[in-house]
Amino acid sequence: MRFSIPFFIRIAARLLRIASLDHLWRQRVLLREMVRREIHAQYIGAVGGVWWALFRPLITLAGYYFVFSVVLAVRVSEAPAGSRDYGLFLVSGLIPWLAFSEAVVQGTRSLIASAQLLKKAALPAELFPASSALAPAVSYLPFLVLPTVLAWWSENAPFWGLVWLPGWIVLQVGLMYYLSLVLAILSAALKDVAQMVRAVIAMLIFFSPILFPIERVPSLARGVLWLNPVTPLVDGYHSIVLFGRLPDLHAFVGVLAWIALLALLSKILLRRSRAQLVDWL
Amino acid sequence: MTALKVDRLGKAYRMYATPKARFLELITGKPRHTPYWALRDLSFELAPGETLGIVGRNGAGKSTLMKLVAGTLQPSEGSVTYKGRMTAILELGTGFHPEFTGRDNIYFGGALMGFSRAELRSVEAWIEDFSELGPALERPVKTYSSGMVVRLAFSLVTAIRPDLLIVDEALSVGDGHFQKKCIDRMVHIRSKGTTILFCSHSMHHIMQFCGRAIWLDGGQLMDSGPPAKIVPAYVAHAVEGRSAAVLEAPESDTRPQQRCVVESVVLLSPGQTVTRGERLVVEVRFRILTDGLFVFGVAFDRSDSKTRTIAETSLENGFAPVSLAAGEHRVEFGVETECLRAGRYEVHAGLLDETLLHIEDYLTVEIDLVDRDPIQSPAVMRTGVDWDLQRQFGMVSRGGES
Repeated sequence: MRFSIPFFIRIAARLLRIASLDHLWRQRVLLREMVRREIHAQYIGAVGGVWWALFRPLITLAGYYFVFSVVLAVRVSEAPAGSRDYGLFLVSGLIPWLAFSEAVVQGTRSLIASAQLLKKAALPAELFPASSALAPAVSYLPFLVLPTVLAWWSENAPFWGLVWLPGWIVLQVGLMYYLSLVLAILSAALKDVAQMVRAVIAMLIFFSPILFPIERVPSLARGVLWLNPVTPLVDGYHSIVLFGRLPDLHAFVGVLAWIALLALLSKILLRRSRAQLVDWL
Repeated sequence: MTALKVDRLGKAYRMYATPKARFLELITGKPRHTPYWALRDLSFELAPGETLGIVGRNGAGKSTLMKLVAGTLQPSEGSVTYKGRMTAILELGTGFHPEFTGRDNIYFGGALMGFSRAELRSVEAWIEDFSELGPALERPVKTYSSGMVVRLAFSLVTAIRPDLLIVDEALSVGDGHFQKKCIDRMVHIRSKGTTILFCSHSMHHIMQFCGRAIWLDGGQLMDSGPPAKIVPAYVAHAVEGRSAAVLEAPESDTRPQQRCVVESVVLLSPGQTVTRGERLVVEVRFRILTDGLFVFGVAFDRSDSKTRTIAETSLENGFAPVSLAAGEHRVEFGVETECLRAGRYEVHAGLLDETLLHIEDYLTVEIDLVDRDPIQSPAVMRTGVDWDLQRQFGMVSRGGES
């Protein structure tokens, strides 16, 4: 078999279509413009501007640190390896979580919020959840400094393990994109979905190993936690940041299974709704 | 060569009893809707540089057609094909971000239309100049009036000449000066080969600007042809429908506010009795209550039949709608009576709005037309036919053509 360049392009094009990313690829210039717009639009008119994007997560972080580490004295592990202090644990789970919840809440609303635009310009629906998923991924990137500094600062931390982070971030963006896409189409059909998502997202943090290690959860309830797509995701971040190793197999399987499921679901929903999606908004 | 081809195009909106039914259909894939056809079985083709005007009442399917061609709606059946680049102004504006300044939106809105940054940079100065927004260009678009939004949108969609331009009702919010500028610009890009799909409630614009028109009603094509044929047919139909509705409705104050009052219609010359061939001059005195655009209209009805003999507006006679300020005015018009058959006529004279769809006010006077040479004829008109008899082998001469 000859592997010419057109052959790879054909394969790539087919893969993009299977993953319903082909429209996004064609509109990539616009996608970049929309991500920039989404980030700007949030802080436009505010004197503090983009600094709020940095400040708000830090406040949340400090609040959780105070309650769980100082007041409740949560220990991450009884194991002797001293590097796994609560601060690093909290940072490595909470920052991805904040990006995730922001992406999903905004992504669910994205089609309804862009109704005016969709009625006036011919654009693929995927563009809006995609920019909602990418915007927090970009605006939270500066926080990579936190685990890096903390890991570098505490001598036992596995500094070089952080090279796995970008790959895991890409998986998180994929998860956020497909979840947002599914929820955005559903909420275009029924506005109640957007309200429900807000409520579920507010609760989801307590059903994932972000504020406390999963070992602290009674083994019976652990199964429930693993149904949450955030659990394998955060577990992977913990492996990378705290132990400097590749995420465990069950984290990989969990995240990839969710991505595959949501991608399939979004494909079905897109096929059923593409022709009348704009009419619903 | 075809620039735009619309082939058996149709759009059915899915009507659901409740949003829940819509959600369940999406989840289960089992149909729970009833289709409503907003447009059905419409076909036409346009050549490069052609302009098609679309007329019809609200809900006739005009906007649906515009959106289907622009691609913001997906057709339920049939197809739309065109070559090259298409830009559109639908429902007053285009994809602008309200929080961004006008200048940012040149780039954002331009990106939505598929223009590259480099292209937009090259026309930024032109847009700034044409839109006449001045310092407002640095303000967020949310602070703009609808007229300002349209000025920016129109500048953007025509800055880089598209192959197909769609303009839906956009000009109605601009002031007269900008409307004229837009028409001039569209005439210019049309001469370079841009095909234009144009929808307006202003019959003046359709007549003045379009080479062809189609008339839609209830999602169906009623008629198509030159605007000079389509517009009067549509106006007659629309006014008829309206007067029927007025007759059915009990007296109420739901009528739109009256904008003018016709106070008198006087026969200046020759008087109530007119000999055929004399020029009838009529003076109309009226009071404008609210400033606006008006068109004058006159109609002759024969008292002995239901046929309307003459119905003309100043628009058809080459007058643009006139802008009149509140206060007293008078207008004079003359009609040649050479072609009219003898008899008694009711002459209605008054004012219409600039869309020709609403008769603002009128008064009626009667005239008696007498003929110098009364030959009994069943015809309504006399046109003065030239007879030219020639030998059989000669060329047939031009005769009787008007």
